[in-house]
This record gives sequence, structure tokens and C-alpha cells, in this order.
Amino acid sequence: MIRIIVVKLLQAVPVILIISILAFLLLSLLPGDPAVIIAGDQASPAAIARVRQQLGLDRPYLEQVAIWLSNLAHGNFGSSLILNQSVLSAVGERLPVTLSLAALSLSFTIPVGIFLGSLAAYYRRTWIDSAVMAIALLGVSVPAFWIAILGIVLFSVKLGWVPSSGFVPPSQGIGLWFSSIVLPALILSLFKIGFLARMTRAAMLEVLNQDYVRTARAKGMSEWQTVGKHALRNALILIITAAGILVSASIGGSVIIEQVFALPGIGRMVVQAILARDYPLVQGTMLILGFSFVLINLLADVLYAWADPRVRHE
Amino acid sequence: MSDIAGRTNVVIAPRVPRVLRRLLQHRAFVIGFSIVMLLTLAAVLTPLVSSADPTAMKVRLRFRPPSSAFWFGTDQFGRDVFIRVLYGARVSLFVGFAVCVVSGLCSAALGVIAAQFRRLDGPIMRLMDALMSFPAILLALGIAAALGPSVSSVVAALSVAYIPAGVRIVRAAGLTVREMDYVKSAQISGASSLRIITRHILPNCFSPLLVHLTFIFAYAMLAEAALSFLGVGIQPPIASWGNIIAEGRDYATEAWWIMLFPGIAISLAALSLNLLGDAFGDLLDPRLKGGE
Repeated sequence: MIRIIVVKLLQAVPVILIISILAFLLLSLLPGDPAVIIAGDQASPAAIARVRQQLGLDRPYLEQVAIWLSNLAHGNFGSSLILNQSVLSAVGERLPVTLSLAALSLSFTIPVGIFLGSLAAYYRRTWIDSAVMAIALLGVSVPAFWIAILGIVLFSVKLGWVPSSGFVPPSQGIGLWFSSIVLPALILSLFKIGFLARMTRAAMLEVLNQDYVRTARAKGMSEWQTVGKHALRNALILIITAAGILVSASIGGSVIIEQVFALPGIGRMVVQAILARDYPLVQGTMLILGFSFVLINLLADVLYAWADPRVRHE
Repeated sequence: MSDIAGRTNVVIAPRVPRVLRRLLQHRAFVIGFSIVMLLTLAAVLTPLVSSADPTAMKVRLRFRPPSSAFWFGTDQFGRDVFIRVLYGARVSLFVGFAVCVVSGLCSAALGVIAAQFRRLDGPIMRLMDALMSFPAILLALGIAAALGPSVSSVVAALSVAYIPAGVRIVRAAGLTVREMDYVKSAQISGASSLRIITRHILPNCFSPLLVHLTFIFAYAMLAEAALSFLGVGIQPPIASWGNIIAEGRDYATEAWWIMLFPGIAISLAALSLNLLGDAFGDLLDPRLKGGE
């Protein structure tokens, strides 16, 4: 077990290094002089020079990379040009919004997705299977931002059940927080529920055909125990591999959902940073998200090895 | 000579119709394929058979609800939403298709190299891990924003975002094939790496990659719509399903038709491609089949 953790950690080191360099290279994708683009078309030569110096663009290329990496190693992810704030504190400020959105959405996604997928697998080739899979297919096909607008029109404008935009922190009342975030969280879950249900169904179908399930039935175990304990538990191991994709879909989806619902989270900040050409903020935020994703995947890999002895002893 | 020709007839001739027959019996395939074909035809034929201009503004005809004259109504500039949705199909399908081609070719090349040349495996896969650490839409957002809003930068951004998953699939298939006895014996009998790649590895990676790319087609269209909706994708006045929805958003309560129809179009296109992907998966990989 410890060996697996060490190996995974060692594998993560080059990945983190490459992520850092990729984020650095983002700036060199810009057509033309980054300093001119960031400062804007109408900027004076002095302002352009200031941006160039501020970003270290006047130094040799390799030195820029070295400075960039050494800053990162010291926990310095750069500073935003428009927010007058370091990237780290800007992200930290908005983290609760994005995290609570992701957490609430995952708390819908995981039980519903696994339940629907198991249901479809158990009643495979019946109308239940078809109905569940049709719902799952819709979930992965319908664009979230479109459903979000329809949801706002229906639930906020017409029915007035929830506010149409804005975020209320939980400190101002759990009820207000919940109603400010329940609709975005639900819509953020649609794709993930569809994805997870499809994945669970495939995993359950594989497990339900195994000998140990037949043995369990043959020895007279109740159907609930056979499916609930034997089959689902083994299928869950397969489902852990979906964890990375679910987290990725939560963060990626929140970029769009936060924009539609005007939730002041990390996703909305990135979009605004991109539209305002605040590239240091974009770079820094993508780095932080990339690093956290590596960590989460590491955790999922370790969890996977912990849950499945076959992986551990490979 | 005639012997060989005769044998080919026996082996190949019954196979092609059998695959076709199985495809035609697969309900998901038939539905998915029909819708995709219908959308493609609409996208290709519209400018050829109709002189309707998707950017023609008729201020007098603003906010007309759907009617026999304007099937999907008109928008805030009096433009025909139906015509705009048809023109949007061109952009969406082109972006989806181009992303499949570009990311498919790159994934095939990188995946095969990683599987065949073991020393390059580590570096390639770590690079893919790094790219995969950014959510696809965020990576595409960053690249598209840096390259500037245009169709080609959206294609480039989404291709890069979807390459890592493709590389993983091709590499996994390649590694399995490499361990097969017939490939090992080819290697022992002196076949070059190039021959092993082209004769053995690539053909065996084709089906999993095809299944994957069908889903990528759907994802890429959804992502293009999202990028255009956020304002970093296809820019007005070029109609794209994403930017029609973005423009119609402000009028969603009163003039719901402006944003409703392009959304249905995206959903329908993504749904049919997902159905196609499922069908390909069923037919090409029996292990994934739903039940026995």
C-alpha cells in the first residue's frame, strides 16, 4: 500500500512540473507581443514597458521559465492585473462558492447516478432499463447552459421559487444559501448523473454476471443482499475510476453554470479574467486547478488500490 | 491467381453485408445515423437551395413568434431563427468533425508511438496526464482565448483538450495487441517497427478509437456551443448554436423561441451522436454489450 502511494507520488512530480510549464506556455500562444495585448491597444509605450517589466517579459526566455518555476515553488502563483490581488487570495476568496456548488451537486449526483445505473442493470432489457438509459442519454446530450436559462425562466421568473442569480454564503442562513445554489447545483448534476448512471450500469452488468453473484443466489441469499452487498460493492470499485471525471466535470461545468447564475466563484472569475485579458490570473488559476486535480486523482488511485486487492498486488 | 480471388470472395463478401445488417438492425444506430445525416444534409444543402440570408435584418419583423412564415420565429433584429439555426448547424458540425479528425490523428500517432516505443511512453503519458489535469472546457477556454476567437482556434483548442483521452485509448489497445503471440512472432521474424505499427497495432486500435471519436464529436459540439455562449468561441454575426442562445438569453422570458430552438438542435445532434457511439460500442466491442 505504501509502495503504491510512493509510486503514485513520484509519478505526480513530473506531471506537476509539466502542468507548470504548460501554464507558462499559455502566454506564448498569444499572437504578437503579450505585453501589448495585455496592456491594451491604446496603451502608451510607458504602460506597455511597465507591463513587460512586471511580467518579466524583458528577460531571456529560459530565465523567465526559471523565475516562473521558482515563484511557484515558493507558493507565489502571480498577481492579477485587474483585481489588485494575488491569484492565491483571489482564488481563496471564491473557493467557498465553487466548492459548495460542487459539493451539493456531487451529493445529488452520486446517489442518484448509482441508483439509476444499478436499476437499469438489474432490470436490463426491460422498459425500466430503456427509460433510465434514455434519461441518462439526455443528461449527457443537453447543453447545461441552455437548461440553466430555461430553469431560470421557469423556476425563478415564472414560479419565483428560487432567486435567478447571486450567491448567499451559508453564514447568512442555510436556507438562503441552499435556495441560492440548489438550481445551479441540480443543473450541474445533469451531465454527471447521466455519465455516472451509464458507467454504473456497465459496471453492474459486468459484476452481475460473475460467478460469486450466482453462488450468492444459489446459497439462498436474499436478492437484496446479493445485489446490494455483493454486486454493488464490487461495482463501486469500478466506479471509483469515474471520480476523476466527475470532479473534472464539476469544475469544468461550474465555469459555465457560475457565469449563467452570476455566482461569484472561480469559474466565473476565470471567464471574466479571460475576457479582460488578465492572463496572469488565468494562468495562476488554471495552475491551482490543475494541481488540485492531480491531488484528487492521486487520492482516487490510492482509494482504488485500497478498495481492490487485485490492483494492490499487481 | 483465381484461387486467391476465389478465397477472398468467400472470406470477405459475406462479412460486409453482415456488419451492415447488424448495423441496420440496431435501433440506436438507425435513429442516431438518420438524425446525423438529416442535420448534415440540412447544413450542406441550405445555402445551395435557399437564398435566405441568416444575417438579414428586418427591423419591422422583430420578435415574431413561430408561424408558418417563420418556423422558429424571428429574433431581436428580425432575423429568421430557423435560417440561423440551419446555418449554425454548419458551424457546429464542422467544428465537431474537424476536432474528431485532428484529435483522432494526433491521438493515433501519439498512442501508437507510446505503445510501440517504450522509452517514449513515460514522457508522452506524463504530458497527457498534465493536459488531462485541466478540465477539457477550461483548457479549451484558455487556448481559445489566447489564440483569439475564430473557428480555427476553437477547433485547435478543443482538439488539444480531447487528445489525451484518445491517446490513452489507442495506447491501451496498442499495448494489448503488442502482447499477442502473432505480433511477438512477427517481431521475432524481423518485422520492422513501422510494419508492426501499420499492420498490427493501428488496425486493432481503429474500433476503440472510432467509438471514442463518436462521443468526442458530441462533446466537441457541446463545448463549441459553450465557448461561443461564453463569448470566446464563434463570434457574431456568424451564427453558431451557442451564440444564438447567448444573444437570445436576454429575451428568454418574452421571446423564448430565439433560444429554445438552437438548444433543441444542439441536444438533438449530441443525442444522435451519443446513440451512434453506443451502437458502435455494442457492435465493435461485444464486451460492452448490455447484458448477455
